[in-house]
Amino acid sequence: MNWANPIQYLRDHLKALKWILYLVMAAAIVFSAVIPHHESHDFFMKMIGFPAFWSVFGLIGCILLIRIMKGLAHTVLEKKEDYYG
Amino acid sequence: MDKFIHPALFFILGAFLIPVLKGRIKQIYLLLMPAIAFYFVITANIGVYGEINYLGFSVILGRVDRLSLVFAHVFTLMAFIGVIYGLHVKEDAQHIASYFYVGGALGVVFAGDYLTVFIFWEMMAVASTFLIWFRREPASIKAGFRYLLMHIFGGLLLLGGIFLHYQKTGSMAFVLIPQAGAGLAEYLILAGFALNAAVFPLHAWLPDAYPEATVTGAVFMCAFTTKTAVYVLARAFPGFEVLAIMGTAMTIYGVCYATIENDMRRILSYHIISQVGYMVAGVGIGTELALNGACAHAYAHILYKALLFMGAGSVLMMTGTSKLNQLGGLYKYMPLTLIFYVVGGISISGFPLFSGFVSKSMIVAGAEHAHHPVLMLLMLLASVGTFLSVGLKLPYFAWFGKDSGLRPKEPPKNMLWAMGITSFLCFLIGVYPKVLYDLLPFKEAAAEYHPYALPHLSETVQILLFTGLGFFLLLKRLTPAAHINLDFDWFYRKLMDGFMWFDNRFIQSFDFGWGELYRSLGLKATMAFAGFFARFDRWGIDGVIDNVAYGTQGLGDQVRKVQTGNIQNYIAVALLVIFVIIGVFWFL
Repeated sequence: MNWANPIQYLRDHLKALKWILYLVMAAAIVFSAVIPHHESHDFFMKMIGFPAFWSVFGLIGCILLIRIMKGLAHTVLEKKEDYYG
Repeated sequence: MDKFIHPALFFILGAFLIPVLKGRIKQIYLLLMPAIAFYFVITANIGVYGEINYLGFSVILGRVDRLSLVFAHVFTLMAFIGVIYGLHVKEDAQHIASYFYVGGALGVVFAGDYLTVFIFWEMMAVASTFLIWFRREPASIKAGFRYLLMHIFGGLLLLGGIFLHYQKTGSMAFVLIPQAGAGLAEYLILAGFALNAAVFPLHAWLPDAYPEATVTGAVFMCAFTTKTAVYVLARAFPGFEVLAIMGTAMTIYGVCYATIENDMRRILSYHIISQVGYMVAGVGIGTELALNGACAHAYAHILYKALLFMGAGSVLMMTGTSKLNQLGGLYKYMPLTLIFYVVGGISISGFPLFSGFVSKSMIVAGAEHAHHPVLMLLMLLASVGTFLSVGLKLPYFAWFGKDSGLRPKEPPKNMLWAMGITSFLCFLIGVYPKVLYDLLPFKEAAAEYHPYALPHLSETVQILLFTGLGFFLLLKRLTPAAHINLDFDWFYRKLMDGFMWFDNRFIQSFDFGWGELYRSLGLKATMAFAGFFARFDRWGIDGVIDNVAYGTQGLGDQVRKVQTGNIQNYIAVALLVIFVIIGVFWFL
């Protein structure tokens, strides 16, 4: 069996795959809103129980990580490959 | 079983037979040793074995308890998988180095005193250095020396700590150290352990050395050094606050660098720092749940990180490069490697149904239950970075992205088998966590923990999905380029250049001048002295010795005259002697 075929199939249907993923994201947010959470007066526990909290956390975390680290790399960290000789 | 057979024996003694065997028999032998060792680990009973009194120290080679068993379990299992992956390697020395390396790790895990820990600790350092050198690239030779020097430095910290600790307590026993009583000695030991766990800022050796190791050697290295360090930390320093903070910092630090690195194996190396960070933090939090989590995560991590290194190593072996900017479009040619790599990638990212989900969450829950919300949020941020760099960026740019024009084949069958088996284990632990939880040191706490709870599922799925969204939004910004990034190794690599300059300019010229002076003055004086002593020896000492010898010979000649062989003469001489003795007594 050529294992590349199923991967190729997914690549040929990228648009459909994208829409499926958008639907799954929406479903995940709905899911986070309906599941029961700990009743707590603790601010932190309330915050993480908020619907879609982790979605926002994931998205913002990812964007910040890329932005900050790429910025640091371009300004300070990045060196040519033969830097150490 | 009443007796305990030390599993390290099969690796340390077993290594000596490797050069003798040939062909298929050698391959079977290489697989058989870890298999037997694994059998003795799963049948071992809890207890203390092999206690020897040596120079007044009590040396304990085999302390078997639940903590040491879970690590020995995964170490022997990993050795088996690593041997399968490296079965095509013809060079005996590489197999011998990895055998000694595994033996050292098992020796540390079962050691009950600091002396034994130290000896096996150094054995690991030396054996693993060879796994770097055997790649035989100039960069590997240099990186190997830096690696060895750093580990010797760590070993010295450890040894210094051990001596001070012995002076203070009078005991070499390797047991739990309470945070309240910890002083300089204990913190030196902690620093020695922390260097091997790649705790920031003693971490730079890891991403410096691992990417330069051999393809098969790196698979061994990513499993043993850091996880042995996690074991010793969990043994001696649970509940040390500094570890909770440093561990969490490591989780973030590792993923930050992984986001901007270009070399596949360097990305994975930075991820070791990040993942070991979770374990170190778990040890630092120190509750039963968190310690269980540290062990579970070490177990799961060894498997999926080895899987990732196997995948990246296959690409390196088949294409000749591990740099993302030179790779791309490999999915048509190495699809199986891609599938196995992705299993490792989603395991480390903590997808439900895969091993990271049931192990990492235990530490995060440990932080939450111990009321460390900041630590918990930072750990989850690190898992965003994990999925971003190992789960998405690396496979995207290696197997998809632009077509690099490379047309590699799949790696040899044994490598695919090793990846397949490891993938299966990652999946098995994910869907049936009981196999892992039953091994953990605190049985009750492990039985009470349920990873597949609704809030945890919801949290994980959201984080992963939206990290994926963020990745595709900023895909262009992540395009890899041929660069390296500065890290703490700058200090010793650039400072070393400065030292070399100073050495060339000043120390060497002084040394040269001193050498000249010695040759012209010192050497002549020495020759004159030597000549004098040679003459003294010939005429003085030899003369005395020779004369004593001649004298003895002469006396012997005189005595021989008496020894005629006739019994009557002997009796006469004997009587004469008796009369002389009696006469002497009589007159005195």
